[in-house]
Amino acid sequence: MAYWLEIDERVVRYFREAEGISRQARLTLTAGLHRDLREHGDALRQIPQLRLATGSPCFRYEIVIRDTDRLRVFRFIVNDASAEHGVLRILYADELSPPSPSGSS
Amino acid sequence: MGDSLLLEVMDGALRPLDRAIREHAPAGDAPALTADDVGQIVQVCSLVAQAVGGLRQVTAKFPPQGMERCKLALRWRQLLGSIEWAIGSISAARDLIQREGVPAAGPESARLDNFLHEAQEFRRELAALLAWVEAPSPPLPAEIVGELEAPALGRKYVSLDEFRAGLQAENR
Repeated sequence: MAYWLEIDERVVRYFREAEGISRQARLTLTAGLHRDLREHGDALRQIPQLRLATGSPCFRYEIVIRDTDRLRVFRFIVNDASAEHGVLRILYADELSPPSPSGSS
Repeated sequence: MGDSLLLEVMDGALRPLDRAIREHAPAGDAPALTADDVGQIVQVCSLVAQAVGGLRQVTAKFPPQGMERCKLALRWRQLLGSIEWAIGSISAARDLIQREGVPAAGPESARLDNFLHEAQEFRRELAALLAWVEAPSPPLPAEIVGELEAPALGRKYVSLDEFRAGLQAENR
């Protein structure tokens, strides 16, 4: 099932204002959201380990991208309380920053 | 060449190599290795080494379109398993050649040592990538979790399409 994806304005602002994220990386992120959440959100919703807690309406979606030869991980928190109506809502985003091996030898 | 194809090439070379080594090694009454046998073994190992080199290059650019973290970890873990297999097989081939004491096999053994060295370097890189991608995420602060799980009153949203369109328009 494909979902309608809504993004909280604060998340939009985060990506507009965050320093150091290239335009290409932003586009890659939105392509990932489209591919993984909109088109394959069902699969992610069914993974209990991704839930913030048992029975929580929120789950994590974490995507790894390569941004100007550096690996970066972004975490999105998605609320699926309206999933039966075909809607997923992205409520929160941040970047996880464990030290990145270059992976670019 | 994509990594799936490279893995297939490597797999296709490693299976018969392993079989040949296995069939030759334990009994001790197998016919002695000839210089031709050694040449063929090194040729197959060379193919494996090329595939390993290709995989290393592909991995250095991966994931070009981004990838969900768990999927990426799984993919790199499988790749690491394949590289360890290659290292084990090349190492066994080198040991066999050295044990047999085939005349003039020295340079071939040295080539195998080079292949091993490259593959071991890649294994180290890959292990570092894997440790990085599998590192646990920091927990979200409890107050944020509470806010996210509360009924969504007063929030404003934009659709993914609007968000993408905005991004695409930004730098035109």
